[in-house]
Amino acid sequence: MNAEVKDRITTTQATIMMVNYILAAGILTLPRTVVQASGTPDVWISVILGGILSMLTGAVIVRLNQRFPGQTFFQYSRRIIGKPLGVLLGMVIAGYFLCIASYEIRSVQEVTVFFLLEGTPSWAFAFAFIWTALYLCRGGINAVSRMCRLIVPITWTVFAIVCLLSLKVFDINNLRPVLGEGLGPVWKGVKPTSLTFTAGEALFFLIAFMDKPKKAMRVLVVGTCIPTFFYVAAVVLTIGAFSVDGVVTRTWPFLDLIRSFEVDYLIFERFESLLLVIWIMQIFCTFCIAFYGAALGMSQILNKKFHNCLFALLPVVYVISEIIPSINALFAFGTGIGNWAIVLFGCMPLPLLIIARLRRIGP
Amino acid sequence: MKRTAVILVLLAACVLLSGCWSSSPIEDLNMIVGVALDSADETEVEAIFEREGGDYPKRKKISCTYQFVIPQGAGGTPKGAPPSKNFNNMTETGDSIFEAVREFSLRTNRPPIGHHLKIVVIGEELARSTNISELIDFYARDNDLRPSVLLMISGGKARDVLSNSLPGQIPSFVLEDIFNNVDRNSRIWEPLSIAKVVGLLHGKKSFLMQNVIISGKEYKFAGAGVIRGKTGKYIGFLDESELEGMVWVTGKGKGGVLKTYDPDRDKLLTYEINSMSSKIKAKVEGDDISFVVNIKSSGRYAEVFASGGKKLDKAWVEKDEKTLQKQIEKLAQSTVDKMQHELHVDVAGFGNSLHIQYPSVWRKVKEDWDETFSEIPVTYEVKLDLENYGASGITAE
Repeated sequence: MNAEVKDRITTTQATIMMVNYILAAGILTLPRTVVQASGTPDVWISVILGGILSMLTGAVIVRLNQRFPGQTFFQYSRRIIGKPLGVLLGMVIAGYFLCIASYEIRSVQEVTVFFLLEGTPSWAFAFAFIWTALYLCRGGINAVSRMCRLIVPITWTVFAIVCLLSLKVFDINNLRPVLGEGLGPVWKGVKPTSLTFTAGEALFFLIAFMDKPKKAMRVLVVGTCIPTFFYVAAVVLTIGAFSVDGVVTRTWPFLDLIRSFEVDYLIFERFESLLLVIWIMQIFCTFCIAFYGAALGMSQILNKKFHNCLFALLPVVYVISEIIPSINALFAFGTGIGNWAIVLFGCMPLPLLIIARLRRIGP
Repeated sequence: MKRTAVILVLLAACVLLSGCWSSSPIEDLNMIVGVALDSADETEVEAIFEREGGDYPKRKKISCTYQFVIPQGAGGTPKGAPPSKNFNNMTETGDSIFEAVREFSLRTNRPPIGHHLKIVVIGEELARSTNISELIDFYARDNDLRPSVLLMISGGKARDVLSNSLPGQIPSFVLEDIFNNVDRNSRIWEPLSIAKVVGLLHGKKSFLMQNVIISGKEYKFAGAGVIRGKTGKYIGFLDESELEGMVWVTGKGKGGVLKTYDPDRDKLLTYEINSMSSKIKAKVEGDDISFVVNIKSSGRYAEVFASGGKKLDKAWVEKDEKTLQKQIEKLAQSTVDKMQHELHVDVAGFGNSLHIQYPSVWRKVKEDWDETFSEIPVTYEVKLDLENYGASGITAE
């Protein structure tokens, strides 16, 4: 199980997993973080730029992976830069996946306990979440990808409905003037998108499972474009409703957008609970993929059984998520992960690819 | 054996998964539907409580009145009996709005919950002395209360607005629903929700809040209160007709009435608004800024007293259109005059237009925009289309 990857997923499955991996808790805070950084309503351009940048860095990762068909990064990194460095790098990346998983579960805890299930202890929620994830990951990559495919129609429909309804409070003037402050602030808004767009890293192991790894580039492009569209919609609608001055005052701007209107004469009057419930499923997918990645990395680096690694990492994920003392620490943790992602997946793959080329490793 | 285990697990799941961790039955909750904030003024009940020792350290600043709905039986009131009051108001005076809510937990067994709060009415006296952002901080921060809560101002005591209503009605719901009449009357300002107001307050922009007044057991939407952005405090008032002018300037109306008199015969002419729109165009020449307000409307004759002409006649219609256009211009002008020369604020979005059309000019003037705006010339271009004359082709004699 651990040495050779036997499970296979199709190109579509891989794409859907990409989309599900990228769409996560970030959407709830993204409108605020980008506006805080840039201060203009043009941040939707920043989000698009962020998507393009993440696609470019992802392309390098795809090229790197295609040199080693059927192998994950944890397996081939030692062939490029030697065993000690390769193992170290693999560990760092597995640790990164672990942190992403912890971040997601803590965010979902914060939001749910605050808005949805006041009075329910957060551990009760986290336990249900983690145990289900463990059960799912034990089923292998195919089980995870089927889960993703199952929830996609539900989350997309609900997201679309909620977005359309929020047009009720939308005011286009809040988004104007376009580029009134020039391009400078737009660039400043790109960096905070790195956490939400942590995309390429999933390809480090996803491509190894693909039945047609040659199509990995398509997975990357489609898998990044769809979430970019979601994020742009969320940012545009939230700023349209709250204005730039208002967005920065909201802790969870996207949820507050859904909370700021009521609909008469439709089955539901309010949609925030519905969106939140659906979005928990979305976050669950990201959690599972990240958790799977961390366990896979650990098992391949240490040459241990995959299932044992899942069980070993289970308490670690929970402990990391519980160490975070406050909401500010959670946001700082998120920013930290984003910075980490820029270094690990923005800057590092290119030198690795060049070294692999120079040393003529791979096909 | 295996089957037994499966059945046991399923049974356990039924029992364990169907519950809700922190549920509370709806009939045991005190649903808040409306809040009135006034400057400190204790009720008799409170005064007696205090005399008997029911007091705690506080600065007496705000009187918060909460309106709770009394759940009615599913069958409603028994036949023949007069409809009973279906709401209950309670007042707490203090400085912290949150503390006041929790103080109710000493006065009633049902915990107040805010999920269904519809409206917050602020008394003019309180709004004059306190920054609105302090008053709504709790409402914008709490997890139960939604940003869709609407804000209003009351010329008199806000508490009275919530205590008056016709039998069988809940004042908070009535107030919220009156906003839906925007297609029938152009003297209603757009509802201002917490979601909208946080941005305005944080951006220090001046804005309008719908005003409500009361007389006896009835209330009326009457004009709008003006909040100055710099201080976040109430500084003045646009009356009904000035608010109508404001609706024309901003083009935010959806319908209503426009009344004027035929200049030659001094006969009444009423126009029903079908649609209206407005565009504020900024012009910048050197350092001089000016605005052109471009108002467009279409509608139909609603009431015409002048006799003698045929409504089918093109010249006649054009003459009436001109008369109505002049009336709109007059309304708009008097509103802008009041903003510029009396209140010294811009609540009609002239600043936004400048910001959108000339971002670089805006950067220079935005610091002191309310004052700058007072000196800027504004001109009007009104285009009105009388499209229809209703079911009578000939006017009344």
